[in-house]
Amino acid sequence: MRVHVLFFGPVAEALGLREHWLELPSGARIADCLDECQRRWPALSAWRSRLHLSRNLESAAEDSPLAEADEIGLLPPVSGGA
Amino acid sequence: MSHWPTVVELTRARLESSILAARIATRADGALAGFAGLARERNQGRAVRYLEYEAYEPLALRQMASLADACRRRWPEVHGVGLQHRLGRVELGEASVLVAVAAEHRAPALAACAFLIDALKRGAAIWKKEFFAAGGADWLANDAAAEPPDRPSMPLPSARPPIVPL
Repeated sequence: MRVHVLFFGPVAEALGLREHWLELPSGARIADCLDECQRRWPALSAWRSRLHLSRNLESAAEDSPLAEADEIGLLPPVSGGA
Repeated sequence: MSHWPTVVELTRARLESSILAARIATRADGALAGFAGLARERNQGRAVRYLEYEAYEPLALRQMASLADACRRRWPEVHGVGLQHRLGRVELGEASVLVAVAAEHRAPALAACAFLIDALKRGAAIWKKEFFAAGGADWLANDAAAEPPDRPSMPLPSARPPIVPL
């Protein structure tokens, strides 16, 4: 299956990209998605423990299951406001 | 869904508190509380030149709308609610965020206004980068633990607390 992974803020900057369509085996969970991203972009490892995750605009956890065309957000600590 | 005015926006345009106020206040209101977060010239001892914001826009907008709902559940007296946040480059002195709350009386308007800005800073999917006068830039992270202890508490029943529950 293919999932759409989105990167933001300092993570997007560290990886040098904002989005990527990732091919994963069926039955994969978000943890597998993160493992694959970390394999492709080792800079992600420095962020992994601090990431908050979203799946189709809902909060998600590493053990959340994935489905075809899911949108997965990798969100570093937020800093809205002034 | 409230029948009172709700404004939830991310924008690259300058924010004007008087315009937001006019959009959410009605003749039923006797109180209008507002907060503006401004881009200031120093942060953590460093001279700042300007700020840049980015957001996971659909998520941040959902979170902001959900905060407006949460605030009305907690203070049913609240009428109009406005939440606006800038994206892109924000110059010193400009507002990067505006909150406005209208109600019949001041107490719920003031409390809801504080609740909204605290919760927005704690959880909305928005990121700020500071560009320094001396060159260079840094991404910031809001420190939820540094919030004053007497702020209105809003438990976020989420597996990952910094995301506002949807």
